[in-house]
Amino acid sequence: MRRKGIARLEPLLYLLPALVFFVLFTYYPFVKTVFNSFFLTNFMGIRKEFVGLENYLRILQDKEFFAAIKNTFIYVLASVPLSVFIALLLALIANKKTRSSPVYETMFALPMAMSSSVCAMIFELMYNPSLGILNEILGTNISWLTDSRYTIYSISFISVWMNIGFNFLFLLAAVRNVPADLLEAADMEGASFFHRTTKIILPIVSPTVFFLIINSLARSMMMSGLVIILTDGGRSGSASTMISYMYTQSVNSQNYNNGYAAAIVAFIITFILMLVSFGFEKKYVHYD
Amino acid sequence: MDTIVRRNSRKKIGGILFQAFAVAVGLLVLFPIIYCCFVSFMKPNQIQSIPPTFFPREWTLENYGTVMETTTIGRFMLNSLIVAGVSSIIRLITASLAAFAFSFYQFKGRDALFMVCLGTVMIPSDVVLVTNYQTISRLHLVNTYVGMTCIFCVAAMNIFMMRQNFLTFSKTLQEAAYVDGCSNIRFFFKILLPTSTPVLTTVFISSFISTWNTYLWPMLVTNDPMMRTVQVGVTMLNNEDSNVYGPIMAASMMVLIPTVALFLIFRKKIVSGIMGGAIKG
Repeated sequence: MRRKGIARLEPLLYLLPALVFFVLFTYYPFVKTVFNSFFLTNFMGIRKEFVGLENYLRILQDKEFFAAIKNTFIYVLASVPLSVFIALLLALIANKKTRSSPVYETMFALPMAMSSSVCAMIFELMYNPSLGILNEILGTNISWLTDSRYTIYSISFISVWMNIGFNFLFLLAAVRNVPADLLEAADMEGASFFHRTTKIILPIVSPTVFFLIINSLARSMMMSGLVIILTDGGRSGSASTMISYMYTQSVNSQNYNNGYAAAIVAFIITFILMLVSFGFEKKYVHYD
Repeated sequence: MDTIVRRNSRKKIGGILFQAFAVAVGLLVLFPIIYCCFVSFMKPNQIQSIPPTFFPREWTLENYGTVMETTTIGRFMLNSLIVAGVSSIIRLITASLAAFAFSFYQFKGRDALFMVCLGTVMIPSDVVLVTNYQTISRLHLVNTYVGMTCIFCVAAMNIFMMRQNFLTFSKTLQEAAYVDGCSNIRFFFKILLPTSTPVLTTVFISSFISTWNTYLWPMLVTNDPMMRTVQVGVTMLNNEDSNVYGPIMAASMMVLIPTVALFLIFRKKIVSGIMGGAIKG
């Protein structure tokens, strides 16, 4: 009888380490952040006084936070579709297996091994108006990172580049899954490359495209590292995002009132966006 | 006959041209890395020259020398290695034990607990960043390896991936082990883990790369220069002097080489891991 009791506990024992970490560093801080967002807090982030939704009302009226929400959406719209599109082109190029396939497949995928701080450093030099190579190649004279008209897009492009590799791997697998007889039939009927791509390949890879968009949507909504590195810790606010706002408010200004509320607003907006896209998926993406 | 040969050779040339084109596109994709590499080998006066140039006129290791002499990059590397290495090993332990429980046991609340694990995917780590920082600072773990490592010690995707892998494990082999009087934990260590090395490698390598590449958390929980990781360290070089692009690119190369090398060596494993872990189950 006693042995049975121990046996029943055995699997729970194996789960314990994982659960402890999940509770300590995901669920507990999440609940605490929600809870704290209804309180006024001091410079240490300790709760002082219950104020209901006041923190939320304040940041939603804060021009800076409003700009941060807008910027986050611009980042998402400027980077997610473009990254998936470029990756799709690369997947179409790499579709047919050749002798040097492993070489260029690796080249296309490699950006995924890069870190945001190293990318930020490399692109900062490339974007440098006088010493960087970009203006030289394009024959332009643009301050890519300091001219507020371009900052957001310049930073978005870095995340486009960083996401190409991951998206490419998925799209390559999807493109190679297109049944060969379908393509042969299309060739027999003399379909053009463009026709073949849009009418046969795209519908079949659409679930993968959707999966990638959802996946990068959630990550891009949390975009912050590149902004914090490239715009002086997010202090020059013109390009700030929801999370970089949260970061600068809490860490640089010790204003945890705004920090907690911003974190939860970012969470809610991202969550709603995911739900909306799943609704969209049911309606428009074909799995047959 | 003649036309077939000619058509074949034309096809062959077309194939070679196509491959050359694909490799050229690959070089274009890798342009930022190649640029970084070339600049890191340039003489400082070439980097400062206007208009900017792409190829080093004279190859030099000067920038690397500057990085080694004027910064503590060796220490940064060691810190990153410790944080990424230790957290990846702990991830292997937490994930394989949890996956073992989920795939080899029937118990009350199993599915609910599985959802508790997977549910963490819905809470982005950035949302709880500030609160986690407070936990760490209240425990006086700022500037410690424990503080830097602890939030990376478990990942739901790893548990999911290993569970998928364990579920394919032959049930007859498992039963045979039990009949032979092999205890559960012995079965886990002596049979299950050794036969699962491919998935263990995948989990280890991908979590090593992602932890090595993290920026925000190590930045938040350290302020002692000796405890900085490479990712934080490389961005710090930037603030001291505006004319240090050469050393910064050299440092960037030193930071990216370990992950790029791991990626090249384990490309197939990483790819299969990502695909297996992400496809909806």
